[in-house]
Amino acid sequence: MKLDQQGVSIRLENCSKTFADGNRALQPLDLEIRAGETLVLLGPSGCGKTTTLRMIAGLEFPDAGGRILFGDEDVTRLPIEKRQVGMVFQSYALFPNMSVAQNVAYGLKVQKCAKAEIRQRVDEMLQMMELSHLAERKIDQLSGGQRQRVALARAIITNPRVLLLDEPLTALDAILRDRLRADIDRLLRSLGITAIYVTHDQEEAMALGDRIVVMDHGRVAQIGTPKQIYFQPQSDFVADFIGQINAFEGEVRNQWMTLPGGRLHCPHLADGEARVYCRPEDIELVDMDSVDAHLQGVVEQTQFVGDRNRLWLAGIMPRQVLVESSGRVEFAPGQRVGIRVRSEKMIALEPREPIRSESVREVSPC
Amino acid sequence: MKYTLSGRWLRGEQSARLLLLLLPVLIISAAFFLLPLARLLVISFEGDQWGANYWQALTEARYLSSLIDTLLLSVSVTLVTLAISVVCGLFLARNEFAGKSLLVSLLTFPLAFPGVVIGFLVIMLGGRQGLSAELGLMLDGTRWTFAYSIAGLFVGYVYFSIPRVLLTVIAAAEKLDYQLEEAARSFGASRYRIFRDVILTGLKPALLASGAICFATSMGAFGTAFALATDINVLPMTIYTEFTLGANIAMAAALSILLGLITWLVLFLARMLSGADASPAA
Repeated sequence: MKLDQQGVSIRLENCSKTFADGNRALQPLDLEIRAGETLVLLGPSGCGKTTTLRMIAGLEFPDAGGRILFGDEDVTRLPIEKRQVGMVFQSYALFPNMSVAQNVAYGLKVQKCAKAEIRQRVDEMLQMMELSHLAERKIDQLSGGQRQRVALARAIITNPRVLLLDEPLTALDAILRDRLRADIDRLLRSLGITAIYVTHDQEEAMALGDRIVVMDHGRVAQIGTPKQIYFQPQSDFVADFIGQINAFEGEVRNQWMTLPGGRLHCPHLADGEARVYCRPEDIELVDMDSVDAHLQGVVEQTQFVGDRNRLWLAGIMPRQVLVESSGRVEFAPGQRVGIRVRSEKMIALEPREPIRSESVREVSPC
Repeated sequence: MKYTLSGRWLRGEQSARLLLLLLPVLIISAAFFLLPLARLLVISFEGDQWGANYWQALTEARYLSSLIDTLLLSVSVTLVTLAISVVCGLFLARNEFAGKSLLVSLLTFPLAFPGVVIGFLVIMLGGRQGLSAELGLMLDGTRWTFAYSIAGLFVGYVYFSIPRVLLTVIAAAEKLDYQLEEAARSFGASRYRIFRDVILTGLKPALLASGAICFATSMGAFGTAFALATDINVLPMTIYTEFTLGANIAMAAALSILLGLITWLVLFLARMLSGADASPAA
């Protein structure tokens, strides 16, 4: 099913938000969301992602000087009632006194559609969301996943210009979350609607977003596709927040970085203090006597998670290095292992990013 | 095997012990409630003809009008109190301002007064020497009095009913899910529509419960009516008159039973309605 009205593009210009208590929740923000795109706002709590969503919804208004555009229309001062947005809340916010069908029909009823049309569209929507058999149920008789689908159905039936989802999966258990994430992804693709999705879960963000906006302390830390965010993080914060990552820091001389546990081949780095990142799955375990075992460490802790082993190695860096290996190979704490990091798998931060002083102190013990 | 109170069976010794624990309350309710009520019921049927007192109460103008007046008064007091309390309660639940807790404690002040004192307060306001009489003298030379009419009763009853309802409404309004309103707004719902569909439905159980209490209290209120010595005979006053002045004890008993029945019925209906609302049949 395609919506009658295709999604609009959205532009935020210089939008900041200061609350009445003087707390600045959002630093001036410029953001462009393409028509039909799913944009994920990702960050820890208090990073400004929900405030951004609520400004786009029309539930909050930006400080003076900010502008919000839906397509070419300036909606900065329009309240939510006039913006034609669909919202899915973390708590679902379904009307407890109404049945499933009445909840889904509510938006159309408020917009004074003809009775016959409402019935037909609600039937279609319930069918599409596989809710037909629950139409007459009350909300408190539904499971969490069913409520989630009702909330989605209610939000999209009115053909909103943009669909806004505020942590819609947070209240569900892990298995259900995975399944519903796939459902939501399929739904958003098939609708072709512009969607803005707020979450603090980086896996969810990766799975759903065409692009991800990583936010921190009211600022945008990075905007990019999931792959860009994962493989080319532009700051310490993004590198740390998205997935797990190891940092190697030390003095580079003649393409080799000296570390407590050996040395690291960094052909792309100039001489001097430097730092590179590497994802656990990109580090290779090699035999101790191999010529490739440039770095050597001791297994301190292991964790078997089915498809792989997670090993925490000591002795390479002051902080433990996390490595992943096939789940079929046995490792025991105390065992010495060698690792190799290929230079093309290393993530080097942009030079403009200064090295955090506390990390440097870890490297040089003086 | 162990069984809890909610279980279906209790072992012999357990149920014996339970009975022992229930004994005090059984004695008290038997002595001070069940037995007098039974006696009242018996008395109410005394007379030449079986049920004649009830027939008289429901047909004779004096009693019937007392019954109807009391009902109308209680219903209108309940409705007005609910309306005032919803507005007040929503405002108090949603706004923070200096002196709010003082205001709430002032609004709940009438709880501390017995009905007689409330009657005095109404006389101070609308009696022959009251504020409104003074004002009337100043403006058009006549004393504006309302304390001794049904208006005086109405004002007094609303005054002492507000705190009971207001506290319940504030508590319920604080628990309303704000996101429901935002969801309704996202569809473009008007403020009236949101009030009707979201706020009022959310408050409904609280309004039913506190409204029923308010109605029951108004039906049985005596002190205020007594202090005002109004020209309207509310049912408790009629019962009092029959009992003390007329010595028509059988009639007083019949009226008491009627008053109790009506009030109980309303409380029962309210509980059923709010119960049905809270947990719909599976």
